[in-house]
Amino acid sequence: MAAQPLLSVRNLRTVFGTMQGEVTAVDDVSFDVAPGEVLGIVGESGSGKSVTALSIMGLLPQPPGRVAGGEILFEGRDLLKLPRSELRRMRGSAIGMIFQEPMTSLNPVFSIGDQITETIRVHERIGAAAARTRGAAAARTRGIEMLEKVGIPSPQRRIDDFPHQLSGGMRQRVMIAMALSCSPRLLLADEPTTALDVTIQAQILDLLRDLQREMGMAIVVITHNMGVIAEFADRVAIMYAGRIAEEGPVGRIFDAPTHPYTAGLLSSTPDLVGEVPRLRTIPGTLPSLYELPPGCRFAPRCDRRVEACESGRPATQEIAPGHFAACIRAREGASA
Amino acid sequence: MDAAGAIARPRATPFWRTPTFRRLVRHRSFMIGLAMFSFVVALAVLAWWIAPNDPNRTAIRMRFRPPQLDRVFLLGTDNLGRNMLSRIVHGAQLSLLIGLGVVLLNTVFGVLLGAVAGYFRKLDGPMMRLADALMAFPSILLAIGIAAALGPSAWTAVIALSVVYIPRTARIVRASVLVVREMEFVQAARASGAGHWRIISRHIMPNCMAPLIVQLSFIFAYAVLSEAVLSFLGLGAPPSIPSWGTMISEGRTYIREAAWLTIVPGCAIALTVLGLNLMGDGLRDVLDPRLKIEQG
Repeated sequence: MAAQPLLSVRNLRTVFGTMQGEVTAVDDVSFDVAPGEVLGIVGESGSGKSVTALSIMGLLPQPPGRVAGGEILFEGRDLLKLPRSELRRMRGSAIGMIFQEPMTSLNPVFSIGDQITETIRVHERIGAAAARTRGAAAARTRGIEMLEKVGIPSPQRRIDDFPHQLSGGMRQRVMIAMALSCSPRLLLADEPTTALDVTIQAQILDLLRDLQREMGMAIVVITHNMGVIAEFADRVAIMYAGRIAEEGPVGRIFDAPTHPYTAGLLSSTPDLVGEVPRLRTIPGTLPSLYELPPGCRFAPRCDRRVEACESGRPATQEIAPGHFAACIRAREGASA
Repeated sequence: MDAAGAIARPRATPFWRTPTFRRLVRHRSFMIGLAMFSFVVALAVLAWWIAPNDPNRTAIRMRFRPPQLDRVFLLGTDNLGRNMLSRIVHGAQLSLLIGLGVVLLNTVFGVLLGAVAGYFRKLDGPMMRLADALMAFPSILLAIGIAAALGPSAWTAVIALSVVYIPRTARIVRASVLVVREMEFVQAARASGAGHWRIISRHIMPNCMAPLIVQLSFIFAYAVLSEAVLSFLGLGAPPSIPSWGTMISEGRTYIREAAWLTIVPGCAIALTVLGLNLMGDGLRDVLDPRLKIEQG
């Protein structure tokens, strides 16, 4: 048994109440994140990856969203059972989050310095009372340090800029500075690069990588981009229709995917080496959460489907140490 | 590095150098409205210097003097020989104070209630139904009812008119809050550990100011107008305080013989309300371009 994981999500179930009844957006999802580890969560739109992140942060829009079951253990404490005020204290200080849209994630009426220092001050006020007196100046100094850390040139001048004066990549750097200003031990990055140019994407990923090494924090990166995972993550969990289809070390998943969905995802991504064959696609679309197939949720689209797939949820099997797949034919896949 | 110098925060751009201000200055009807309103404000502020004598001093032998080009009788005298110019400028004080009072109460309670209703979704239904109930009454009828119940006085007028207009302000604020609360920076603020009040006061409200400012300028105009109506009906300030509405009411009897008794205060009301409305339109054009397109 390895050391205690930093974050341990156990059988998380998140539901949304809708006009047509309750739908389960995240269904019995479990994963661990070790301190300093980067876990990637991949999946199509609607597979439940963002909802998972919001559940961890306690930021689900409630109602209609609700965590219906499971545990979210952060450093051994169940976030779902913490009193609200305590959870609020952890947000921003122990767990940071960055969002997809850098253009709208900053408040247009305040300078970026105000926004970075706000996070620091929110948590200082709660923490050391002594820091309050010299709070403003200290927070500003810290804000400039953070801007420097995320690679914003001449931070002393930039700190008083307003969001509209910055480009998308710069704003995402500011977002990262905000999220990291209190040195969180876990960072949730929800599609951190999706809205950015390809060249900027690479810069932001490099930056996150460097900061992650420097600060020793763990990152959960949520994306639909396999390239981001390959470049950035240590381990990856592939989500499909609210469940984890396969989970394992990045190298293994890319080299020897055992779940047909993972295999399908990978073969629909172009390779940089060698001849580019016609890209394969996965037939069909993600099932509606209202009409989920009874057995394996991927079964209707699967090219290796057998009769047993349609009766009952496939058990998650450990294919190799640390490599899990929820497919009854996973072992065959590994050898294939 | 000269740390102190580099780290010091530069002064914020003064308002008169912002693009918003420049657009306001170039907006013709806003400037006309501002001129009208400033004129009325100047009358009110300088009332003690402008008024030739006590607005309540009667002089029976000098009654019904028509307006003439004269320092004292510029606007004539009324049926009791009271100086109309004195009464108009002191009436301006009352109108503006009541308007200001209503606007202040609207700012405080309209913002508070609107923000709470828009942000805490569970309170939204009950609060808005209450607002609907209040708004279902014709506004002036409701004001009359409240003023009559509380007994006529200047304060009553402020309270009655505030009760009438606060639901409208709250609705406007709520609508903006509903839009802004869904924006990602609010989510980001929540993710960085900000509490409800910090999110409302720092992240939501500053982004809802434009429609609120526009609304308040119109409410000021409505309040001036409605105060005149209440006074006209005898539900506003007591007769000892000169009020434009009271003046029209008293002058009504003599409208054939001495039309200036009603025309002069009528013009004062019109000037104030028109000025405020023109300002409101201008502010709306400048602060809230979306509304302008929708309303053509």
